[in-house]
Amino acid sequence: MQTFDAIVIGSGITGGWAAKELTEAGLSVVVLERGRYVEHGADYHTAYKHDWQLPNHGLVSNDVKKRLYKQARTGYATNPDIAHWFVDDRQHPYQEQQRFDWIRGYHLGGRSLTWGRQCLRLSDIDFSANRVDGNGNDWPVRYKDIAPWYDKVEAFIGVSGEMMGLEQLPDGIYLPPMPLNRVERHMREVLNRQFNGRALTIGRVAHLIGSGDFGARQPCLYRGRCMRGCPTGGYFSSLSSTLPAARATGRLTIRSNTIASEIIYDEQKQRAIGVRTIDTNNHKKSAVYASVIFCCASAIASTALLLQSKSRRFPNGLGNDSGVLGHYLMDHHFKVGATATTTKFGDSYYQGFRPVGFHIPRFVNLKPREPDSSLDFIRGYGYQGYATRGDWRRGFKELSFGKAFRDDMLKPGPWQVALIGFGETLPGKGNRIYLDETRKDEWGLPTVVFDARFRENEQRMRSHMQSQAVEMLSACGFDNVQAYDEGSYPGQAIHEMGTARMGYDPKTSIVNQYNQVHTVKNVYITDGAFMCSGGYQNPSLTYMAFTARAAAHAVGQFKTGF
Amino acid sequence: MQRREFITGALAALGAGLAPAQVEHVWARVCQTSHREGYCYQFVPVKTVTFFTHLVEHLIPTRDLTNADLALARFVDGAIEQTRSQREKVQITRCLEHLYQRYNRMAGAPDTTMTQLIGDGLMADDEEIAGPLNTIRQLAMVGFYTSEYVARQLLNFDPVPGHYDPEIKISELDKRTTWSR
Ligand SMILES: Cc1cc2nc3c(=O)[nH]c(=O)nc-3n(C[C@H](O)[C@H](O)[C@H](O)COP(=O)(O)OP(=O)(O)OC[C@H]3O[C@@H](n4cnc5c(N)ncnc54)[C@H](O)[C@@H]3O)c2cc1C
Ligand code: SF4
Repeated sequence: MQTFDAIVIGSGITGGWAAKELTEAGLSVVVLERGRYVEHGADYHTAYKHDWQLPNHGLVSNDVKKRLYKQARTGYATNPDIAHWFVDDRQHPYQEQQRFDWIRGYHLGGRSLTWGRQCLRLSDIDFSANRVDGNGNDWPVRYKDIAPWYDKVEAFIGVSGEMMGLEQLPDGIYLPPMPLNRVERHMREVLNRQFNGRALTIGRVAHLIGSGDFGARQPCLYRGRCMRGCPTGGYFSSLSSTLPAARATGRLTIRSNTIASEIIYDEQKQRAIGVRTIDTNNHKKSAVYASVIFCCASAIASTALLLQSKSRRFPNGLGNDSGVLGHYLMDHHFKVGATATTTKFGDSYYQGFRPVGFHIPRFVNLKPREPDSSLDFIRGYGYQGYATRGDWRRGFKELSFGKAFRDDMLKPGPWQVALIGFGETLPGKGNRIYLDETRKDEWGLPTVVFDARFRENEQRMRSHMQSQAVEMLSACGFDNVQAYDEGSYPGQAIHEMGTARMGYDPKTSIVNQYNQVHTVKNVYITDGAFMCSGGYQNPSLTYMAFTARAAAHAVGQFKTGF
Repeated sequence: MQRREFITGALAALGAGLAPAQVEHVWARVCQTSHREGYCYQFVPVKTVTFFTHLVEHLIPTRDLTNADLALARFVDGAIEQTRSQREKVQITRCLEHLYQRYNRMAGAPDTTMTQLIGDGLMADDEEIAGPLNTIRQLAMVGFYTSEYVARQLLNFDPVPGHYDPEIKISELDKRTTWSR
C-alpha cells in the first residue's frame, strides 16, 4: 500500500502551489497528474524555433484541425508551435448540451505553461457582490482574509505591475511594470483627462522584470514566445517555480500519466483515505493513500472527480449533501469591445516583444450598494487591450499583390488599437455540469456534459462594453473606430470556475472558508471550483492565494488531527 | 508510392531531372479522380505546373532578390496540401484550371497578362475564383514573410531582444522595416 501524508491531484497552477506549501511544511506529497511528464526547458521543443522551422511556417495542419476540433475554436490552440499543450478532443471527449469551450492542457504543469499570466486581485467589491445583489451565495471570506496570501503568492511567483491605489483592483507586491508605448501613453492621458475615474495601466503579469535575484529563473527576455514554454523561467509556471521548490524539499513524488478516478471514502473514519488511479498508458488500476487530499485538477475536472466518487454515504458524489455540486458554473464573457487605427505617432515604434498589453480596470458599478441608475446591468467589467504597429499580416485584408505591395508590407503599418472587454458572469444554479454515465471515455470514466449560457445581465453588460470602448477610442482621436461583438461562449475565456462553491452553510455549499469539504474534512478543493463569484479579474492569482491558505490550514489540521 | 503534395509533387518530379520538353504530364497531384494508397492522384499537365509557379511569382515576386531561393510556389503548394480541407483543395484546383484557360486565351506579354489575370481574379464577383485565388495569395505572403531570408535580410531580425524599449524612432533604424524573430 502506497501511503503519503498528502495527495495533490493535478500539477497545474494550483496543484503546484499545494505541492510546494505542503512539502515545505514537512509533509510527504504525491502529485497525481493525468498527463505526460514534462521536463522544464528540455521539453519546450518549439521554444527556440523560428517560423520557417515550423511545419508550414506555423500554419495549422488539416490533421490537427480534425483532432483538436474544440480546442481549435480558440483560433490559436492548434498552432503547430503550441498545439502539443492542448488536449486531443477525440481522446478526451466531453459533451455540450449548450456550447462550452473546455480548453484543457493535460501534461505536467497543466495550463500554467500556456496561461496569459495576468494576475489581478479580487476586491471587497467582488467578495461582497453576491451578498449585496442576492445572486449566488455570500463568500465566507473578505479581502482582508486573503490579502496576506495574495502577498505571499505574488512575492514568490514574481508579478510585474503598477501600483494604482484603486479600491476595485487592490495593489499587490510588484516587480517593476513593463512600460507603455507611445500610443498607450496617449490613451492613458486622454482617459485621465476626459474620463473621470477611468485608468489605463500596463497588465499585471507573472513575469520577472528588473534586476533582482530570481534564483534559478531569469528575467524576461521579451521574446514574446511564452506559450511555447519559457526555458529560462521568465514567467511563472508550476514547472519553473512551485514544483522545483517542492522537489527541493526531498518530499515530493510525481506520478504522471496517472488519472485520479475516485476519492475513496471510509465510512467508519468519516473521511477520505486515498485516491483510486488509472495508468493512462496501460489502463492499470491502482490506489494511493494519504491523510490529506487536495483537488487541484481544475474546476471542472475536480468536480467531475467528486461526482464520480460515489459511496453509500455520498450517493450523489463526495461531499454533495447539498446537491449544488456541479452547479453555479461561471466564466468571464469577452470578445467584445472596439478597434481603431491611427496614423498619429507615425515615426514612433518600440523594440522587444512585450508579452502583455494594457489594462483598463473596472469603472462601472463601483458602489454596488448604490447602483448606478443609468446602467441596466449589475456587476462590472474591465478591458485588456493593445496598441501595436501592424506587420505584414495587415496585407491579408487587402487584395493587393506584386512588388510594391510586397515591399510596403515590410514596413511598420499604422498603429492598431483594440479594447477587449472581460465581464463578470452572474452565478446561477442553471449553469451547470453533470456526468453522462452512458457515454464513457477510453478509461471507462463518464464524460462531462456542459449546460450553461450567458444570460440577460451579461448581454446588457456587453452593449455597454462596446459603447464605452467606442467612446474611449474616439476620444483618443483615433481613426476607423469600430465596435465589435464576436459573441462569447462559456469556456472561451478559459476562466471556468464554480461548481463546488464555498460557503458558510453545508446545505448550500460544498467547501467551507478554508476550501475544506464541509462533510469530508480532509479533502480540500482549491482550484477554481470553489469560487462563489468571479469578478471581472483573471482568476488564477486568487486560486493560488486560496490554495496557499488552504494548505496552511491543512497542515495545522494534519498535525492536530482532522 | 511516395506521398506527394498537390502540385509540388509535379514540381519535385521536374526538379528530379525530368526535362519539361520530354514530359507533358507529371504523376503527382492530389485530386478526387483516382484513389491509390490513401491519396488521390492524377496526371498534371506540366504546363499547369509552370503556370502555378508563374502565378505565385507574380503574387509575391522573389526573382529580383539576390540569393533568395525561396521556392515560394513549392511552399504554397505544400501548405495547400497539408493545411486545407479536401473541399478547399478541389476549389483551388478548379480555380487554377479556370485561370489557366483564361490566361491561354488572353493575348499580350506573359507578365502583363498574368498581372491582369490576377487583378481581375481577386476582384471577381465569382467567389469560386476570388476566394481560392486570395487563399493562394495569402499563402504566398506567409511563405515569403516568414522565410529565413526575409526575416534576416529584409526585416529587423531580433529573436532575443532582452529588453523592451517603448519608444524608438523608425527614422533612426538602419532598416525601416518591422521586427521579426
Ligand atoms: C491560453 C490561456 C490563457 C490564460 N490566461 C490566463 C490569465 O492571463 N490569467 C489567469 O488568471 N488565468 C488564465 N488562464 C487560466 C489559467 O490557466 C487557469 O485558471 C489555471 O491554469 C487553473 O489552474 P488549475 O491548477 O486549476 O488547473 P490547470 O492549470 O489546468 O491544471 C490542472 C491539472 O490537473 C490535471 N488533471 C485533470 N484531471 C485530472 C485527474 N482526474 N487526475 C489527475 N490529474 C488531472 C491536468 O492534466 C492538469 O495538469 C489562461 C488559460 C489559458 C489556456
Ligand atoms: S517573453 Fe519573457 S517570459 Fe515569455 S518566453 Fe520570452 S523570456 Fe520567457
